[in-house]
Amino acid sequence: MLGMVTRTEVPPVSSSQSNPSSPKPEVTMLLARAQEGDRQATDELFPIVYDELRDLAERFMRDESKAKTMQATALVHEAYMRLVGPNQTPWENRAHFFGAAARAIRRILTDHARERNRLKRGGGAAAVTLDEALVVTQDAASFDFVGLDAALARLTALDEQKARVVELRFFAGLTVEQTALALGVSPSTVARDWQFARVWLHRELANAS
Amino acid sequence: MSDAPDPSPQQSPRTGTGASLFRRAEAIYFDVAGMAAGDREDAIVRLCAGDKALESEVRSLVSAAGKVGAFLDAPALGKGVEELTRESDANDSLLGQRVGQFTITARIASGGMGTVYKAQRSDNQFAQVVAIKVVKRGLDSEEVLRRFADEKQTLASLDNPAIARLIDAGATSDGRPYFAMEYVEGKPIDAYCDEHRLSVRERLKLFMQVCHAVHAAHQALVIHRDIKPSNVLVTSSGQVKLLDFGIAKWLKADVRNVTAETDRRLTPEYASPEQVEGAAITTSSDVYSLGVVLYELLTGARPYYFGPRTTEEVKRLVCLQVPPVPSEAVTIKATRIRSATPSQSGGSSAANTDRPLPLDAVRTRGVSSTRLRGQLRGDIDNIIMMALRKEPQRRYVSAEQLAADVQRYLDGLPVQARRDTLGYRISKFVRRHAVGVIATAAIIAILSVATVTLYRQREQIRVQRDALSVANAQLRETKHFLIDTITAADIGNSGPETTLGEALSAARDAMEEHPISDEATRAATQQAIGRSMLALGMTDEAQPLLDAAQRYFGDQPATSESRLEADADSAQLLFFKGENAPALAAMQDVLARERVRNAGVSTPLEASLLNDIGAVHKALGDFDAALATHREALAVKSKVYPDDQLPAAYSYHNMGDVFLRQQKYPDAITSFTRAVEIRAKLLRPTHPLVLASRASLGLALVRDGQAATAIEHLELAAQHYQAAFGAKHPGNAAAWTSLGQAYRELARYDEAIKAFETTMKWQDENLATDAPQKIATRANIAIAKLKRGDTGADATLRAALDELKQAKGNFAGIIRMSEEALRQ
Repeated sequence: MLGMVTRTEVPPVSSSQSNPSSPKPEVTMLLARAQEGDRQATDELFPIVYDELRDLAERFMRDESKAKTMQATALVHEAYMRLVGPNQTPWENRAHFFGAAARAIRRILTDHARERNRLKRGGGAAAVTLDEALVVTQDAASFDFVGLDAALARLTALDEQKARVVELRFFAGLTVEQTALALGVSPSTVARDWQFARVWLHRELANAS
Repeated sequence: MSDAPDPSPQQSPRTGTGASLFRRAEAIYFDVAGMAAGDREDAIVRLCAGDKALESEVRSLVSAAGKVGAFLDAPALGKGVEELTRESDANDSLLGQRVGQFTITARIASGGMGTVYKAQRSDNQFAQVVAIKVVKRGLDSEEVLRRFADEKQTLASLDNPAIARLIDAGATSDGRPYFAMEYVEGKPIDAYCDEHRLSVRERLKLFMQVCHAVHAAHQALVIHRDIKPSNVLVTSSGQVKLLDFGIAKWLKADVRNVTAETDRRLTPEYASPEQVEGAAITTSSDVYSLGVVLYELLTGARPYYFGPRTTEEVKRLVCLQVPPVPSEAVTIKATRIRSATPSQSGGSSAANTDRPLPLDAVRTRGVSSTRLRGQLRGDIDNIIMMALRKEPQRRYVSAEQLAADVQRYLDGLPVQARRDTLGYRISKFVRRHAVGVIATAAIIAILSVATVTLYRQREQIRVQRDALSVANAQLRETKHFLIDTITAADIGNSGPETTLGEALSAARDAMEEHPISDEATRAATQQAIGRSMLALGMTDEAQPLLDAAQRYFGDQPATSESRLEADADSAQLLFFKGENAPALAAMQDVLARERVRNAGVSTPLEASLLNDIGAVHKALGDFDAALATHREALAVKSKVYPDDQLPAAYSYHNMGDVFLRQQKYPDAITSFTRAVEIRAKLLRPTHPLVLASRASLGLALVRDGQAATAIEHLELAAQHYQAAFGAKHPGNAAAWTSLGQAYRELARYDEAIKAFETTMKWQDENLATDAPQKIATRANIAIAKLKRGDTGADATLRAALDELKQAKGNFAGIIRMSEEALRQ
């Protein structure tokens, strides 16, 4: 991959050579529609991003040197480059992509945790699936992703923005500033939401257990 | 939220009455969160005003806040992968097994290529401890075996006390290659320096040892290629030991043969531009990495921090960005550098006595980092920056030369490293990377405005020599602030798509959150950001900044340069807001004062005022005055900028605008062509100024009936306009409309309609629902459709025409075109 990006002028609307799989124009279209407030576009975006992220995680795992440095942000960025390509999409459009990616990672992790729990209860030996690659920061085995998912759903009903802050920060690995850009609010608002959401979710999870 | 099954979307038992309780609890939570525990309970009772459910909610949150710890702080991905890799390492472990004549006793670490174990010679009466590196299972491809063979030979040929010795090599029972090397009990050099709180001089001396060892390897025709602190250990006796010539290669055969292949195993933080780009690697690449190590040892920071570790991001930073000079990069961590002169007690004994308590570190931070900056500024900055130059041939010729320059510094002799000039850096940058990275352009634009402003202030203060240092500090502080805030705006992560406007807004926000303490610096920075915003047409956002600057500089004499600059900005702002008559009066007033000040010696300010006055005359419809003023501006510019054509291009462009308004199309074409020629020659093809002139030239050509010639300019302008000026700039609509008209003239109706539809999309997103410009676009589309032969289009066009005749604004042209189309 290194050494392939051309050093001359990059035309703004074309795929670059560094991009192995060709971008999917429908993703760009969906992002544009999502930006215009089209909820259906947001829904259609999700499975594409979800598949791409799973596929990417798989690739990342095959290449150990990459796996070591894998970060959610890098993963999401790479997925973006593959699906949309390095064109001049404005940041606001990318915000929808980050949203979808964060939700995809949330889903992957939650499903995986559910599967794990199911196997544990069923007494079957947990086959190590590729999703192992996506498990995770806090003690993979003990962190309550299923509980977090449910608590996030409750938080969404009470204050959707805070839930989105958590998705973007925790699942997509965005910084406070990036989250602010993605949501179109100030960094201080994000910081405040983040602080409160962490406390609230921690309380919810503690009460649940 | 389609993906999250939500069992209780409205209420949950614990959250009581839902969203309203949540919001009230949140507000009270933030009110009481910072209070002492004693006051808090009273406050909760008072604020909740008898609402027991609310009280208990707040209490439960306050109690949760005490336990929240690092909950969710680490993002969900990343660590898990590390853990997984560690697990697979554990499975791979050879613990307790025999490898050759050694028995493995412990695992030390895992690297990109293999795992390193601690082992003991089994057939020996005295226990010889070695480090054994075994290639990872699953990676034993031919390539790795070849590398491994290289490593073995390389190490065997090196006999230097500062390079870890190779002892043995072979293959494990399951066929994996291994080698045993001198076991080094030591600390990575950065940790060693910090733990022993070595002073700058002591660090430099230690670093020279590293340079000598690297040089010895270079003389044996071995390049290390992966120099980083974790590969440079220091033993308790203070001996430097270089580890891991894992990716070193033989130089003997042919330098060009060495490596063109990509090496993803390199550590990007220490990798040179040529390594990152996969270009030929020479001893100079090691000199670069040494520079990074020294940078880190003396500042506690690395030249680059990568956001997403993608290829593009790493390349962008390493190959394009000049890092802050070390003296400006000093971090809190650098307080571990002892600022006193070195004691003779030696490194090891200082270890436990000298470490500051954390509180101490906080208290002394400011003082010591200021002192440290002073120590690094100048020679050390120059030495490190010379090692870090992008072009290998401009770095030190050898690691030995680098060490020699460090020695000269230590001896108080003049060093050889010279400051890279800003002009050189920028021109080089532009030449090599014509890529239109707006974000980078933003930094340069802002920096140059800020630097020019402050430079002028400094010139003024020069008379009062004792104040010079103050201005210097301001210059540094501003530059530092801008670099910090713009980098913090995460251009790295949002990528080159970040527009200049976004970068400026981010800089403004950052300044609001962390105000610059020095008033003069703050005003100058506000002025710089405001002026840059103004240049982008961000009038509303620019106003408060420029007002603040004018308030500050308003105290100065009427003919002081700072005040004149601030007044000129405000006058320009008036013009941008459409208050033409007051703008003209204000500009003429500033011009008169400026001419008193400059006493007949033309200045850039005078030139820029004349340019603006010309533009206001045009806006007021006084075309002759406008042209006369622009000609005057051209004359002034030829004196102020004898060697630079770019300022003149503004005047040509603006004169073209006047001719366009006068409908003198051949004159307009001549003027715009001059502007395009100059700008296209000196700027990159997608530079906003190039695009602006092309858009105007294209428009003039279309009006003159030369649609075929116009197409080339308009296609370029329309396609790149948004990237150059941002999505909201009205020029987007103008460029697409002109392009549409050109296509229509050439009977390329489908393309014309597409272009007009792009205009329409822009207008829908950016203009009021009932904006008359939209009617014009509807008419344009209908004309094209009618000409294409869509008979249904004439009703649409008739309706649009009726509306246009009622609409406010100058729509004579489109009305005429619509009527013509309907007649045919």
